Amino acid sequence: MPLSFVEGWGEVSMTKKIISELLLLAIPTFVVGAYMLWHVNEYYAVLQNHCFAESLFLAAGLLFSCWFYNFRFRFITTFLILLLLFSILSTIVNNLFTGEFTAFYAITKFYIFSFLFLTGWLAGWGFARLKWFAVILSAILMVIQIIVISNTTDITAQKLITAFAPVLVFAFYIIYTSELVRNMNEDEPNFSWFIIKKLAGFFATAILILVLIFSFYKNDFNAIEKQYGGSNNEKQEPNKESLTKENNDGTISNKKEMGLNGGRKSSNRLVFIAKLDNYFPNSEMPNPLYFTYDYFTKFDTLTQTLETDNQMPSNDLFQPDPSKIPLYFTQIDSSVLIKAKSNLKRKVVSTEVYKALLSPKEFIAPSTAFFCQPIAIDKDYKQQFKSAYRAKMLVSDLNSAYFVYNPAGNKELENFQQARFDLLRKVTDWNNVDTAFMLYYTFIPKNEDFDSIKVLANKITKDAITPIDKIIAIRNYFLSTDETGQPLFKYTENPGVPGLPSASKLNYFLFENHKGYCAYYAGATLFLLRSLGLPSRVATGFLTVDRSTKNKGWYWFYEDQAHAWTQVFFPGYGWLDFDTTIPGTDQQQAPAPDGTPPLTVETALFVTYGKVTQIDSVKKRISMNVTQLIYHDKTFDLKEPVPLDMDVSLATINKDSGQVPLSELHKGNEITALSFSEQFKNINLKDSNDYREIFEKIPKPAPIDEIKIIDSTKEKEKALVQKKTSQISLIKIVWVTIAVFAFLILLLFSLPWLIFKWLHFKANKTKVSAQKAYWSYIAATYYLNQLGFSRDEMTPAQFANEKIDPKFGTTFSSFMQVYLKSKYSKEDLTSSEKIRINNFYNPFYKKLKTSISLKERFSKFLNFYRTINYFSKPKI
Amino acid sequence: MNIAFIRERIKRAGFFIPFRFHLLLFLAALLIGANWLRKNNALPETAHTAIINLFIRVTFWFGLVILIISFLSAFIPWLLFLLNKTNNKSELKIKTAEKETIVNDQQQVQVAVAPIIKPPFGYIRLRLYYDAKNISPKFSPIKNKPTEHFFSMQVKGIYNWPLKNIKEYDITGGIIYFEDFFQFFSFALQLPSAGNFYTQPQKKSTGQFIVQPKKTEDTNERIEEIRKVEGEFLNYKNFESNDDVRRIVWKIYAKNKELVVRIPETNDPYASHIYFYASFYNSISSDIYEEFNEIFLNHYKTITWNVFEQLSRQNVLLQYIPDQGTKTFYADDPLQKVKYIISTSYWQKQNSFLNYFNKQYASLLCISSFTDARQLEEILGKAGKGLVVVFVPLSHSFKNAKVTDWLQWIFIKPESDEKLKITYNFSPLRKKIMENENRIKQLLKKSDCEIVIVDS
Repeated sequence: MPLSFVEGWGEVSMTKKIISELLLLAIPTFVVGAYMLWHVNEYYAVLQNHCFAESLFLAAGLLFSCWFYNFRFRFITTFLILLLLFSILSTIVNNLFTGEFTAFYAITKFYIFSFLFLTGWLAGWGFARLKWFAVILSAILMVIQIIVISNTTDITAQKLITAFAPVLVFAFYIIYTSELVRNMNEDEPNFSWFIIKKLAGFFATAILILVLIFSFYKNDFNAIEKQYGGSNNEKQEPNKESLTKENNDGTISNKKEMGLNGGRKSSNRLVFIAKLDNYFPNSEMPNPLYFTYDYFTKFDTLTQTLETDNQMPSNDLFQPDPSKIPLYFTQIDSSVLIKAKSNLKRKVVSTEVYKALLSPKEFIAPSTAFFCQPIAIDKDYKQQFKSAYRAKMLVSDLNSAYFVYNPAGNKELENFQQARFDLLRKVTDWNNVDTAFMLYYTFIPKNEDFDSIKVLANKITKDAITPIDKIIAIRNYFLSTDETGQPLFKYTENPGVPGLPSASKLNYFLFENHKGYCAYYAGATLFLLRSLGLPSRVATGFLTVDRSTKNKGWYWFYEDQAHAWTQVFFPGYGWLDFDTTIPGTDQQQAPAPDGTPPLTVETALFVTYGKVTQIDSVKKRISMNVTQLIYHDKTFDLKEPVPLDMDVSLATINKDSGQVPLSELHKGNEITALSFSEQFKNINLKDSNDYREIFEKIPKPAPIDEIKIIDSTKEKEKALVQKKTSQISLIKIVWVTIAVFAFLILLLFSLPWLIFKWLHFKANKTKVSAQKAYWSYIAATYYLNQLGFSRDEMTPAQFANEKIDPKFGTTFSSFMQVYLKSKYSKEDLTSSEKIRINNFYNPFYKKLKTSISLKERFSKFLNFYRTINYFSKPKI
Repeated sequence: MNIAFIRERIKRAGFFIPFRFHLLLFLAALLIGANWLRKNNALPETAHTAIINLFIRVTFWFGLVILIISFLSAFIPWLLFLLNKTNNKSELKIKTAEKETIVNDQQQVQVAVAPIIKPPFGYIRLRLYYDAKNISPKFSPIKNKPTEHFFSMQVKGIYNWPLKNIKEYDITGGIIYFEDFFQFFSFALQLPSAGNFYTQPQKKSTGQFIVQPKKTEDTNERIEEIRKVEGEFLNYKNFESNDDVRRIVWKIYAKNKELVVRIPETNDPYASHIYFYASFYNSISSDIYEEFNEIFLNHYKTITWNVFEQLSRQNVLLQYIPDQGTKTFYADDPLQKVKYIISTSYWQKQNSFLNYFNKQYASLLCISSFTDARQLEEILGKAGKGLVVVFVPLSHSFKNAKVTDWLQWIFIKPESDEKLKITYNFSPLRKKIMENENRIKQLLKKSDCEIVIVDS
């Protein structure tokens, strides 16, 4: 039996239809598919950049299936055979490759190609057989592309637009063309001209709209680029990435993603300064520590990046938001001390951090911090520093920023270094450490690339026995020289290979290029350590450089000190910093000599926290309800709010963003008010635990030196509402559109009834006979027409006499005589005729109502075409 | 009101819905996609979420603008057409091509709608109402001539209407659809129109056979005096077996050895016409097998017409005797008239086979498998040698199913007539037809008549 064409397409000859389907649907889909695959390959390293081959598989499935299903082949049975074929092939592939990694790679590759072929196959089938397929395909493609693009790390407006615009146009193109192909007619002369004409029209319209929409949204794209793209005010060079990011208010934060994909930007702006009370034991020599911001512990095999992970075992990261804590109040999390898993050689150290560029929300301190207390800044330094906090942490005696740089003959440091290595040499195994913890912190993916890293790690550490010696061997490897005496590794801001160091790129760094910045060294060290089974993680934050001999213990942090390094876990000693990044020539150069730190720190004697109840901006008086109080370093939680009058004539008002005028303060704001005034110094208290007495004895109004607005509740609500509205607005628009559509449809169908109700009302309410006759006639004929009795070609009298009265037994024809008289004759109506008019409509209407069932009336009133028909005909 | 009726009503109402299903599907898919994206990527203050939200907004506005354009592109022409219709300016003209049916059971219909503005890049499509209750599939007319000028206010074209049944069609009106370029929206308007055509049997070879007219009561109208009309060859005709031998013109025979007889002034109808009887009497099938009956009818009509046509080409005078009343068909060509009668005939049960058949006149009798075997037996007994019986076995309308058919249908979809074939093979009608066919064949075998069984 000759295989004929699939049914339902009727008119078009097979060849013509297949050719146009392939040309207009399948090939464009393949092109867009390849374009999307290219993007996907950029972000998902598991695909291994086989973009071209992948596209070919997609195309093969798509084109063949599109052609194949144009014949009358059944889908289910043929597809099952295809699946069977694939399962056989997968068994063969499985058996063919025996090595652990080659097998893994081969089978992954096989699955990816099979998946793409089958996806193409399904799409081809959809084009050939399913009328609605294009609609679903377009939605799916848009969603996929949005997800893929949103994962991009290189965010520029242009890149976002060029990645999405083609898919957006294609999504509508495919709906348009599939309808075009479905309705094409082989008998149409100049068929290709017809198609070209239509397509040209479509593209012109689509591109015009696209240009308009994108120009409308240009600012939004630029805003995203500015906020997340890492391009700050200064134009960033391509292929440059910073470890810090700039917030909207001009402050900076550490980036959530470690900047592994490109060079990093060096800039010399001051970020913060810190006073760290850490000294070498029995010495006055300051011992600087790295300031930690975050830990990168998890390697995502899909994106091939190191990620932060809230779920990391024994999470010892303390991340308070200092801007949310009232001045001089504290936030403590002692649970991190247990999670830090260390009990040997530990001590509590405190630091004071004064933020210059660093965002008020950020908290940064040497590990392991557990205490945060925002503090006031002396007036003289307010211009330079926006906010400050005090932090306490449990630090190891073995930790020091000096580990990296050469002690350079400093005997004390050399001895310290040696002592610490000797101590750590005693640690030989991790047998007593929790297995889940070990598994997590020693995880690396298993494939060929990581295999070679393992081989390298073993080679580097072949002479080292203890773990600490292995670590030192790795550090020495990075510091080693090649045959010509040149350093093997070099520090560079721009390692030359753009993109994320996936395992293969780390290989490139380790084995070929040997150039990179801190993230490369930290990442590579992490893999080397983990491949040796040493639990490790990457820490990000700022490296600390001791440049000052004048103010001991004060450190200045510039933007180029943003840093990434490795931490290794030693049982008993906890996490210890090991930085393997080799010093760069242009590194650690302070742009300017360190300034004077705010040495004169006053202690607030009186601090209150609560809500503002009254503001008198003329007298400069503020009333507040105090809920918390600190008096001479003693904190009171008030059982009920106590009102307090304050004199703020000398006070500065502060927000996170800096100093603000008094007018910024509103009723209901939550504030901290503090005073350094001598008047609070010498108050004699009977019972130092009774806060009531304090309030009684303090001067009224209380002199206040500083007010800090926490986060005004109103502002918070406003921000929340704004955020919600911006989120809701789109959904709202969709719903409103749907509602309007629904209303219009409802109106359309109820229109016949509404019109009738109006005519009915007019017929009943009109009093003047001639007009009443007219409205009665109109209402009656409209009602009849709607119920399916249209006058058609009959005269009105004929219609009443022959069609209506015999059927319903009404007096329509006698009414018609009077009506026609009232309309055409100049004679006045007689009283009996007037009675006839008055008595006609309602009985007539009721008669019709009783003789036609409600169901029938209802269904006929839904038909608005009858209404159109009625009004489109001459009335008489 | 039964379910089928309600379903039909809903389907009819659906013709007037101003949008198509795939618009709803598209909107639903977009909404689900957007919701899914928002739900699964709602981390605040990340580039990820910001990009997704922005793209959702861009897609929304792009989609909205393009949908509004497409809506207006169809709605405005529709509104203008509605205005024209209200003022009785618009018209739908339908004309059918006179020529014989083209390939693939398609009837060519010419359609013209004016005045009308085509939706830009969109489509004008139509449906035609026919035979009071039926409605054609949606089609867009194929332009047979390029448009005269760009702003032409007319849509004119042809429609190759796939009509399988051989019968008469009455077009009473049409629905005109204004569709946008995505075909998301479809605004409809009804317009009355009138058109009438019948589909004709296709050409088919039936094999050559010769039929002779029956001898008849010739004497009454014969002219006694033989007039001399020599030289006028028009006045002679070839001798046929039932002609009076006395009227053979021997002079002509002497000259060129051709037996001719002189045609008398009064035409002797009985002696020179072949009376063609075709019975549409149905003694077997009932209305519940309507689908099969239609296929059988088409087959029977095709064979009957082709037998008639084949005979008419032999230069014999033919007279078709219908067994049912049909509408009068005005045509000069008697052949066209017969074609119309055959094409518009139906299976009937009123006029029995015995009533219809006249053994005195009938030279040829066309019968189908639906013929009552008992009545046929009676007729065959009376008719003698002169009758040619053409038997059309209806079971041949369906080819026999083979085992391989079942195998291929695992992988290949059967076409609708193949599906019918399967149901036919399982229906009790098949058994009845086969039995009747065998009986008829046996009867024919026994009889003296000349038998032609048309197998094709």
